Amino acid sequence: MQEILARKRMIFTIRLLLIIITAYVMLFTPSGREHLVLKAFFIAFYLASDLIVAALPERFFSNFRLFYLLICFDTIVVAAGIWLSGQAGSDFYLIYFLIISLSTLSSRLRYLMLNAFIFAGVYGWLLFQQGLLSDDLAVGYCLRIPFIVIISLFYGFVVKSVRSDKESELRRTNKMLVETRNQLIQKDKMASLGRLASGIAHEIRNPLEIISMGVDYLDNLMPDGRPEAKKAVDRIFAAIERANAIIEDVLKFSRKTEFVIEPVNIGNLVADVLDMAGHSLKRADVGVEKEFSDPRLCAAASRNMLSQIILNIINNAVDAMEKAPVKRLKIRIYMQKVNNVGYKTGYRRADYFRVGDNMIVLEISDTGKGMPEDVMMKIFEPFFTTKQTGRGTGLGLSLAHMIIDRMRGTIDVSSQDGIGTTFYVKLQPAADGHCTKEEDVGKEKNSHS
Amino acid sequence: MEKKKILIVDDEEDFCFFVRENLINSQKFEVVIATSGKPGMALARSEKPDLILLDLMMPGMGGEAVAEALQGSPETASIPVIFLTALVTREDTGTGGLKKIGESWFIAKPVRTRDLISAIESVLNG
Repeated sequence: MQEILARKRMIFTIRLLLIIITAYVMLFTPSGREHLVLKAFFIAFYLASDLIVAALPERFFSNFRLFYLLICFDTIVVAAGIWLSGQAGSDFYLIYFLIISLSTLSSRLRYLMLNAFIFAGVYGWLLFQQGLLSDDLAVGYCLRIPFIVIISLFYGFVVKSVRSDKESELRRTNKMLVETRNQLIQKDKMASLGRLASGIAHEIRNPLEIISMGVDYLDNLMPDGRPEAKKAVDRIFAAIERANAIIEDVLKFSRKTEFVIEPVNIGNLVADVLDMAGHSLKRADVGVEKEFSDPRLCAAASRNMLSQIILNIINNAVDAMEKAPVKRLKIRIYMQKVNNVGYKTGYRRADYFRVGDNMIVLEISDTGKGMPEDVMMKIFEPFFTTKQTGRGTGLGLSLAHMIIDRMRGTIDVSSQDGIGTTFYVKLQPAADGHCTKEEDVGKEKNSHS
Repeated sequence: MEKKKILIVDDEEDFCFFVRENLINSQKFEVVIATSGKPGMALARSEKPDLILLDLMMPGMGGEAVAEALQGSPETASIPVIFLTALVTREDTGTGGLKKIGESWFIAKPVRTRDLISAIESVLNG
């Protein structure tokens, strides 16, 4: 609202300036005595129009079409003023550039140029009508027409570029704000999940235990020779197992005691996880491509948790590629400088990746079935899964999100339906981002433990 | 074969009932039950069970406090205790479901009768 009011004031002031200059030229030039009544009427009319502008409600000034109508009105009025003053041949025509400067308040090149052509046409006619296009100085007068158009074009183009830059910056900022908001919502959900973990375990496992023992009790009471009853018992136990698997997942990932942040050689850790996943990769006939920019890149992370997360992403990738014609898993590790805000949000300022900081990026891409955007938006939500019932608890990625969050990193995803999916795990570098020789031996230590 | 006496201390009455019935049904055990900490301690002293199945999270006197009190009394100090808890995972306890941490045994809920029996036997046989 403040901006519109300032705009209204600016329009009023520039128009007042136009009126004063036009009145001065009309009254105080050598031809000032001619058509005195008409000139007085003209000045009064123009002044009245500015007073009407001052009285108009603010909402009219946010509509660019009405604004350009006003500009058009001023253009014609100023041209009439030039005609009335008899100064078409003088430099008075330069007053039009005040209207150009006024029109840039709305920076719409098309409307500005339309206006410039109207003025050029009217001014050209004035020059012709006053016989200035046929004397010795005709060339000089003629050049004024393209001059008006070119200056208007240049002015309009500059303003449009500035506006376009501002708009794209605004779009970028808006996009980042939306991402930040989404991450905050996600973070809140994850924090709640952590708090709920032990409560869920206790409150659900106790009745599960009663069901489990109760079914054993009924099983004992049942007479032998009832295979269908035995099958039903097995089904109940399978259901108990499924419910228990969810609780196991929640508990496994939500333990604070296992959470030790230490320098982790990411390349070695990924190699370890690929060893662990080797059997399922081989069985699914998935080819692995590795691209490590530096074998000693070192992240500040929880070794066990991170390996769980990587294994989880790889297992998901293998599942997603089940029916893919080309089965390729690509893993990239590199260090990247944060060149924009919005990589990380958090409640604490210290959690942010700041612009100019380095981060270690682990990219895991597959050539699987990908996912549509609506699915992608939900994959970090607890209990969301696209897998068949019984094949996934829907907690792996939401827990991964929570864990990475605790490592002061982020996990993002990009996917194209039918083409593949890429996960980006962004981590804080340990020290300068490179492991010492002792830290490099993580792989050997791990493989022997 | 002499039946072993098991004391179950758990605030879930239904759970106590089913475990007692299932253990009795195995013909290997006789069972006494208590649904809170203090009566559990009293039963431990009076019944002298061979083993106690103790719920870790109970209202009032929790399983840990009960175990400490039992350890502190010469009459009951030698009775092995298996904690039943909903807060450990199979990863913690291993596939058998039983894990020794320090001097205490833990078993993850939910557990099936056959696994519970083998856990009890394993602790009783040292």
